[in-house]
Formats: sequence, C-alpha cells, structure tokens
Amino acid sequence: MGSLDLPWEKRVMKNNNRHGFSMIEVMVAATIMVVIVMMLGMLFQQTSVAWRVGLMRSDGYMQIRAFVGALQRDASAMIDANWIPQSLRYYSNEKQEFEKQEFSDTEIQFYTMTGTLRTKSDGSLEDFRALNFITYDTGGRRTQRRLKPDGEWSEEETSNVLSVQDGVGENLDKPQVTAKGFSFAYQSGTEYDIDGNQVSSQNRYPLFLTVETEVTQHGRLYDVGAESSGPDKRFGSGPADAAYKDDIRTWVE
Amino acid sequence: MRHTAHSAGFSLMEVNMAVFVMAVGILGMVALFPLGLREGMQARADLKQAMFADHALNQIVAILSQTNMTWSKWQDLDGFEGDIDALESKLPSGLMPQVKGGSGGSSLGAMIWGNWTVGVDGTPMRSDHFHITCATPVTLTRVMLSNPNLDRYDMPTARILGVTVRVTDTDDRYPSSNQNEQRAWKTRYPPYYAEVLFNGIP
Repeated sequence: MGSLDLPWEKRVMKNNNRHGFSMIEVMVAATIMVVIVMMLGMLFQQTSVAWRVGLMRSDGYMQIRAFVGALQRDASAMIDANWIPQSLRYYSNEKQEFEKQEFSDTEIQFYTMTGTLRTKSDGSLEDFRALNFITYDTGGRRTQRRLKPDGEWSEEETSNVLSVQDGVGENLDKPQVTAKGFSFAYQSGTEYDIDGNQVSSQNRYPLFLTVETEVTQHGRLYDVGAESSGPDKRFGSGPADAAYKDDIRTWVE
Repeated sequence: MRHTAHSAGFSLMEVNMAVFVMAVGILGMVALFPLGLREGMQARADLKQAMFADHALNQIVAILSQTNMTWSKWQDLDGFEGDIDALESKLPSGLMPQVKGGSGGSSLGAMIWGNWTVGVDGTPMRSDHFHITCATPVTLTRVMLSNPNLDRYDMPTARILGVTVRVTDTDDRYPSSNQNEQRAWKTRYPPYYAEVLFNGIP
C-alpha cells in the first residue's frame, strides 16, 4: 500500500516513525556538496575570466581596426605634396612655414585630394574635390584641414581614432591600445620636388607605410567582502569611533 | 516508488548507476573546457595568419604596382611559386623598396616579416613560414585553346596578376624539396589572395 492511501494523520506523522540521518551521513553529504559547490565556483570564475579577456581582446582589436581603417582610407587618397605648389599648401602660423608632407616614427602628416562632383541647382556639376591636410600620431589623434573654395584653409578638426581616452593603467577594465610607431618604405632612387630640389628622406612620398600596434590587457583581482555593524546599528568612521567595531560594510573593489 | 517506500535506502547497484550517470555528465562537461581553450588558441592563430597574409599581400601588391615594372619581368612572374627571397631574386633592384633610414635596396623578406611571430607562439617569422604564388589568369582560355600560336600575354587579362600567400600557424616550415610534403603543407594552410594590376609600360 502506497503512502497516499494512508489517512492524513498517518501521513503527517509518518516521518516521526522513521530514523533521520546520522551525523556522519550529514557530514559526508555536506562535504561532498561543499566540494561540488567549490568546483562549480572555480568553473564559474575561470569562465568569467576567459569571457572578460575575450571581451577586452575583441574591444582592443575593434579599436585597432578603427585606427588602421581610418589611416588606410586617408593614405589611399594621399597625393605627393612635393608636387603641390607651395601657395596651395597649408600655412602654419605656429611654424611660420608652409607645411610639407612629413613622416616620422611617431607622427605623420600628408595631403589628400578627396570629394565628389557636386550637383548645382541648375543641374550642372561642380568640382567639389579639394586638398586636405591630414595628421596622425601614435596616440590615435587625427586632425584634418580642408582647403575651401575661397583659398583659405578650414579650422582644424580633431578626433581620436584609437579611443585611448584613459591613460595606461588608469582604467583597468579597458584594453590599452597603443600604436607603437610608423615605418615607411619608398620607391628606390632619388626624389625631386616641383622646384627641382632633392627631397629629404622624411618628406618623401612613401610606397607604403606600416603601423605597429599593441593591445595590453591588465589582469585584475576583485576583492569582495562584508562586515557587520552589530546591535548598535550605527556605522563608525574609523578605529577611534566606538561604533566602528560592529559596522556592516560590503565592498567590491 | 513502491520499492523505495518499503526499503531502508538505495541499493548499491542504484547508487553505482547514479554515480556513473553523474560521472559521465560531469566528465563530458569537463572535457569541453580543453576543447574550448584549444579553439580559442586556434582562433587567435587564425586571426594572426590572416593579419600577416594581409600585411604581406599589401606590401607585395605595392611593390609590383610600381610604374618602373617592366613587361618582361611581369610576364616572368606568371607561374612563380616560392618564398619571399625567391620572389626578390625575380625582381630588378629598381623595384626593391627603400626603407626609411636605410640606404639603397633592402631585404624584402626582413622588411615583410619584421617583428612578426608565428601563431600564438613567440617563434620569429622567417621566409619559410609563408609561401607565395603568382599567376595571371591567361593560361587556359578558349582563345588559347583554339589558337595555340597566339601570344597568351597579348590580352587584357595578362595585366592582372593574382598573388596568394599561405602562412603557417605553428613553427611548421615549408618543406624545401619533397613535393608530397609541399603539397600536404599547402593543403594545411588556406591561401589568401589579392590581385595587382600592371602599372608599368609594356
């Protein structure tokens, strides 16, 4: 006869007629459970670390792709500034000279010709292509100036295409992406500018340029903790305060 | 249910079976972890392979696109297969790029592999870690088959050169002589492809 066939009084009382677990049984069961829970905890921790590392890595690669993509787009429109008449080039008030194309390990500057044929109100096409003066540095900073139809250069537009907003080591939850440097290769031979002068190495028109970047991920230990305020239900502010001894505090840092 | 309701506990066989089922489940789950780690490593190596191939192809395309490329050298590249040093020996010194700060032509290989390492390992990249092929899409055309005496380079497609680069993801170097091993090596690693247009004067 099954237990459901018994009257309710018997069913309620049924457990009273049986033996409970012994201390040893409970301890063995508790130990096994603790081991399993600890294993699951370790599993969870490992998975969460792997997830976070993967997330940071993909975030870093995304930033690099943005940087290289922007650089590639600009560089593919590059024209040789050694053949642009000086009067058309950007005049820097700071340097008191017309800017040349210049390529160093940490900073590059060059001219591009971009734009489209714009349709005017009468349906005819207007040549909207214009010179741009572009600079990049290894911090990911990109600046652009455009030559306007009135012959003046526009104000400098600045953006950071590497998104290194926080300095290295400041924001540990973000991958630190840095461009380590630019390198260049030129066509073999000597190069001359529009005035017939020999062009020095850093002002030559590159055959290709290479940028080397680095993604750094910082390991991080999270400290999770709690403490109690005790019966006085008051939080103290330091060891000198009597209430400090029984405070409740929790933290994740 | 009737059985357990009247007995003092589980039999040894029942416990054994339960433990066995649980062990199979847990072991199956645990076995997935090394698999996941290995796949993660492989994904990183694959990404690096693709990045290096892109880097090498970009430079090769830039070098072959130069305006001082001659038509005879261009034709000579059709059917090329070898490492970067062999490719360099096929090109005239005038096509060798000049690295900033360096003097004269530089080693193409050293310039391309630079600071690259192989896969997720720290082994420095060398010329036998990647393999290059070049071919123009003119070899087997209907025109060719119908008229074998026709100059196969006398057609617009001859101005296009397809370049492939295969890169190893471990320190698995391209075999130097054995053709079967070379074929097997090429089967192991996928080709990355780019096209370059002849920009010289024929």
